[in-house]
Amino acid sequence: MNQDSLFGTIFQNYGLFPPTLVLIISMIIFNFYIFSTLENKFAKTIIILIAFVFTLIKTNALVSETAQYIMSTSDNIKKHKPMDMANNEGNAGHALSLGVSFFISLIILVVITFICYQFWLKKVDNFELCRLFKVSLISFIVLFIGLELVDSMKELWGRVRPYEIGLKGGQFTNGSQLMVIQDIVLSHLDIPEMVHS
Amino acid sequence: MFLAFYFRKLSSQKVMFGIGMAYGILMAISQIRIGAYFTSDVIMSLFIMFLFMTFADFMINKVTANIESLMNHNQ
Repeated sequence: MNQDSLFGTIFQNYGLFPPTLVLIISMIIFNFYIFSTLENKFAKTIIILIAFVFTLIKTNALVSETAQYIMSTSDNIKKHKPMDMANNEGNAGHALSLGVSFFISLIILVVITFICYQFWLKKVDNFELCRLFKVSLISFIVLFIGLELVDSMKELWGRVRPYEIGLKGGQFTNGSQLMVIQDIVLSHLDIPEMVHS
Repeated sequence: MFLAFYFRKLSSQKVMFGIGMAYGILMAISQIRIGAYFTSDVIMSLFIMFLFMTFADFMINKVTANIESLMNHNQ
């Protein structure tokens, strides 16, 4: 374990985007399908609005978390602490304000929507759009359930993190240390036949 | 890995799945490296997500089977 690892820091700070990216792409395909097939303007507007707000909230959660990690990392570097302590409870730095975070999320959404529309969805035919709609719906539902399940398990199970045992000292002793202790105890015992038996 | 479903060709899906899998493994190794998760945590997580992927693949194949046949018929 090395909390000063550059490899670990890069992945921790910037590597959390793929599930949100899948949610964003699912939302774009879903909205594009609704926009191009549904006749009722009111229903169309409501569905697109709800899907957009939901995705904006999820994107905002990613942006806030990433900003928090980046700020904590730079704070740790300044204080000469291991840079990956960003994730440690109680070490989180100041996150972005809600307005700035939502604004960045909005820009990200607009850019991804533009790229998806201009280079991909504009060119697909009706059959492919219908297939993509079903794929996006199933991917979204399965991914959402998977992420919620993993998050709930984390909350309910109450697991300990390795750095909590390694750095702060837990109530448990490492297996390797136990072996050393066992060797020391056995070497001091005056019953060698038990050691070899 | 879920991004693979958006591709139409099977070969592209396989490439995207490989990239996703490699990224997932790198992410898991990085988390073990910084001491955020135990090896058993990430193995269980990969196993759960793989199960969900298999389920999603089954569902997608089931609901898009008729569209695929129509697309092939038109081509």
